[in-house]
Amino acid sequence: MAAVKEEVAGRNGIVIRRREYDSDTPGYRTYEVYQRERVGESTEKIKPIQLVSDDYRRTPYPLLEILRENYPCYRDWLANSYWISQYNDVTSIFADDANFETRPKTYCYHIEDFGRDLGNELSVLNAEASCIEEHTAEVATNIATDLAEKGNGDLATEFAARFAIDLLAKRYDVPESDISEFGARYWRMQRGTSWEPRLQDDGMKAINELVAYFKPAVAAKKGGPDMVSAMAELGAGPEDVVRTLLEGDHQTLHGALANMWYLLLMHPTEFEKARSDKRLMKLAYLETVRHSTPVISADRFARHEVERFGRLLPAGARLICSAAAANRDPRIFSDPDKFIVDRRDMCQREPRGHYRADGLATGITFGLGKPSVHPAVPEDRPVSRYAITRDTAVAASMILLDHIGGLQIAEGASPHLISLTVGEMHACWNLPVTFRKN
Amino acid sequence: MSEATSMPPPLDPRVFDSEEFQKDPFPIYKQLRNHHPIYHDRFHNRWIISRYWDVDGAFQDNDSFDRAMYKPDGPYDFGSRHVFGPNILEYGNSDEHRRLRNIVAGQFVGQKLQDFIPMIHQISEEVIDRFIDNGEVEIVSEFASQVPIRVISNMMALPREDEDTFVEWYQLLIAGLGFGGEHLMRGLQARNDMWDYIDPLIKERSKNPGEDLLSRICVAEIEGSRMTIEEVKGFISLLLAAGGDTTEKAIANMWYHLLYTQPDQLQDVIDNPELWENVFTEMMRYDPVVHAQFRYTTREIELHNDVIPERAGVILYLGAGNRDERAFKDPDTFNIHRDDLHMGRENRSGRYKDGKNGHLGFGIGQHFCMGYAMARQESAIACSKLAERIKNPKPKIADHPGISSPNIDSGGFRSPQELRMTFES
Repeated sequence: MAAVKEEVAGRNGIVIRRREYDSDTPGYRTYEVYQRERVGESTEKIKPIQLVSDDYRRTPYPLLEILRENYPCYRDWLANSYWISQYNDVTSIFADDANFETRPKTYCYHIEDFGRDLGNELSVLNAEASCIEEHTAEVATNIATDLAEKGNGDLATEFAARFAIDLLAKRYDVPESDISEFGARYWRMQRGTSWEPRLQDDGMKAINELVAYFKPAVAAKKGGPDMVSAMAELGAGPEDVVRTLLEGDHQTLHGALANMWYLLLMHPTEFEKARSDKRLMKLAYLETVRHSTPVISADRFARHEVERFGRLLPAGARLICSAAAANRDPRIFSDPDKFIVDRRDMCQREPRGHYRADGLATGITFGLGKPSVHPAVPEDRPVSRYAITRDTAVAASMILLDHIGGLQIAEGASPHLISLTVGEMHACWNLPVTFRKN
Repeated sequence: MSEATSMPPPLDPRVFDSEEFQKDPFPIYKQLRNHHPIYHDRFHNRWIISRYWDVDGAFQDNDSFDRAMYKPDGPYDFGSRHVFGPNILEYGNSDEHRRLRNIVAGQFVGQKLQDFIPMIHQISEEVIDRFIDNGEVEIVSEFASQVPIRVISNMMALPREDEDTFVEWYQLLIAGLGFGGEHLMRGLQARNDMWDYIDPLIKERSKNPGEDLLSRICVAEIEGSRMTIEEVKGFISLLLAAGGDTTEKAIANMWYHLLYTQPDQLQDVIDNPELWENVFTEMMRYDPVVHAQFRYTTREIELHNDVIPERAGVILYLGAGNRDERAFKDPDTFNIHRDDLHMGRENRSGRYKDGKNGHLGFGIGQHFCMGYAMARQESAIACSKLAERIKNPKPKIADHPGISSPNIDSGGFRSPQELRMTFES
C-alpha cells in the first residue's frame, strides 16, 4: 500500500489525504480537484439546482455569497457554465475582450444575420442623446401629473415601466396612440431572448410584427431628429431598425428606477437624504445599481481555451458573470448588504471602462464591454449610454418629487424584488404607493 | 424570417431536470425527434441531437464531434476531469486514445474472451446457488449486481474476499460521474483507496505476469509501447465501473422487461435459451442502460436547416435514436422477435450484412464500447443459467414503478431499483 503522506482537514471538515503519487505524477490529478484539494474544499455547500430555484429568483444574494466566498469560479454542471462572483474577477472578464466574447441577442433567436445593429453609429448615437435630452422632462412631467391627480398608484408599473417605454417611443418616433402596442411588442421581443422557448416563440412573432410596423415609417423618413430618421439616412431598412431596437439595453432604466424607488421607500432615512439634493439622488441611483442591480448577471463565452481563476476554461465555455454577487463583495465595499446613499467607498462616476476617477470601485450594472482607452468620453461622441440613463433616471425622479409629496408604500402591500424567470431582470414589478399632490 | 411562422411547439428545457423525465423520457424524446431534430437548450447551455441517423452520423464523424473537452495535446497535462483518473474516455480523438485503445481492446474479444467463458459459467452458478432454495429472489441485489464484479475481479485474479469492497468502490466511482460535488469527492476518495489497493498488485504482476487480465494489461504491448502504471490504474477504474455497473444494470433491465413489459416472451426465452441474445439486443435498443453521450463540436455543423456553432456541447440521445420511427417499425414495443433490428453481435461501424439497423446502445465509431462482446456474453450466460435452474418465474409484485434514471445529481445509469421474482426450483 502506498504510504499516506499527510492528512489535511479541509476548510469544511473534509479530510483530504495526500498520496505518494499525488506529487510524483501531477498530470494525473484533475485540475479542478487539484485546486480544491489545495485550498481544502469540496463543493458541498451548494448544489447547482439551487441556482435555478425560486429562492434564487427572489433573493439571489445568500446563494451568491456562498459562491463568492467559497467557489469564486464555480463549475455549474447543470447549466454547463462557470459562475464568476468576485468583483475583481467579474470586471476582469468584462474587460478582457481578447479572451471572452459577448454574443448578440440575435444569437438567442438563431437569426444572427438579421439586420444590422446601427446603435453605435455616430449619427444614431447623437440622435438618441438629443431625443432623450429633449423629451425627458416632458415625458416625466406628463407621467407625474397623471399620477398626482390620482392620489395613489404603482410606481413600478405607472412610473418606472411607463417612463422607460414612453421615452423609447420618443426616440423611435412612435406616435402616442401606438405606444401601448409598441411597448408590448418591444417587451415581448426582449423577453424572447430568454432560454425559455415559449417566450422565444412569442418574441419571434413580436419581431415580425415590429418589422411590419416600422416598414412604412422607415420608407417615409427623412431628416427628422429621431433615431429612425438617422438610421434611414444610413440606408437602413425596417430589419435594421428592429435589430438596433433589440440590441439596445432595455432593462436598466426601467429596472433601476423601479428598484431605486423600492429601496428609497424601504429606507426612509436614506430617502430623506436623497430627496434633498439632485446630487444625492444621483448617488442613490448609483447605490441602487450596486445594491440591487436589475441585470444580475451577464454571459460571456471563452473564445478559446484559457486558464483563469485556477481553472482551465475550455473553448466555448459559458461564464455567468454575476454582477449581483460582485456588487456585494465585501473585499470591495464595506457593509455591502446595506443600502447607503452617500457611500464613501464607491466611485461616483459612470464606470466607463472601469475607469475609477477616485480610485474607488463602481457598482456593476449591465455589461460594461471592453474598457475604453480614453478615461474621458471622446469629444466627438455623446455622453455614454450609462451616463445618459443615469441622468435621465435622476431627472425623472426629481420631477416626480416636484409633483407629489408624502410618498408611502400603500398599506397592506408587500413589494419585493424578483426575476420573472431565471436569468431575467431582478426588479420590483409592483410598488403600490399613496401620496398627496403638491 | 419565413420559418418563424412554422415554429414547432415549444419544449421547456427544465423538463430535463424533472422527475417525469427521469422515469419516462420517451415522450420527450419523441417531441425532440419530431419537432426539434436540433434542439438548442439555452437553460443548460447545450444542443441536443435525437434522431437515429443524426446520432449515428455524429458518432461516425469524429472530426466534427470530439469526445474530449480538453485537448490532450494542450499546454496543460490535466489528464482528465474524471473520477476514473487518466482513462481513454478522456483522450478524445488523439493518437494517445488510439494507442491506449489498441493495447487493451484485444483483451475483451475473440479467443482472449473465450478463455474466460468457463469462469463466467461457474460464477453464475455460484451466485444462483445462494438463493435457489428460497423460492424467490430480489434480482437487482442478489443476482444482477453479484455477477459482473465477481467476473471482473476473477479475470484480474484479485483476492476473492475483497469482492464486496470492489462493489462499494465502483458504486462510488459511478456516482462520482454524476456531477454532484459531494459525489465527486466521495468518488475520488474511493478511487484513491482503490489505487492504493491495486498499486502493489500492478507492480508485482508487471514483474511476474500471470495469465490473468491484470497481468495481460500490464504487459500488453503495441509497437513496443506499454501502459504506464498510472494508465493501468485509470483503466482498472474504468473497467470496474464501466464494465461492472453497466453489465449489472443490463441484466436487471433484461429481467424487468421479460417480467413486466412483455411477459409472454419470457416463456419463449425459457424454451429457447439462444433467444437471450435477442433479449439483450432488444433491451439495448428499447431502453439501454446509457441514454446519452456528450460531444463537443470542432466546427460549425449544419443540420436540418439549423447550425450548431463551433465549440458547443452536444448531447447525443442514443436512447431517443433507438426509438426513432425512421429506423425501427413500431419502436415503442419491446419485441425480442423483431425483424428490423440486427440481433447478432455489434460492431463499431454500425453497418450489418443483413441490412438491418443496429441499436445505438454501445455507441458507434471510434469510441464504440470496448466491452461489447463481454457484456453480451456475460449477460446471456448469467441469464440463461438462471432461467435453466428455475421453473415458472413470476413477478412477486404486480405493480412495478419501472426503470428510471437515478436522481439528477447522483449520476449512474438507468435500471430498476428493485426487482422481486418468485419461482419454483
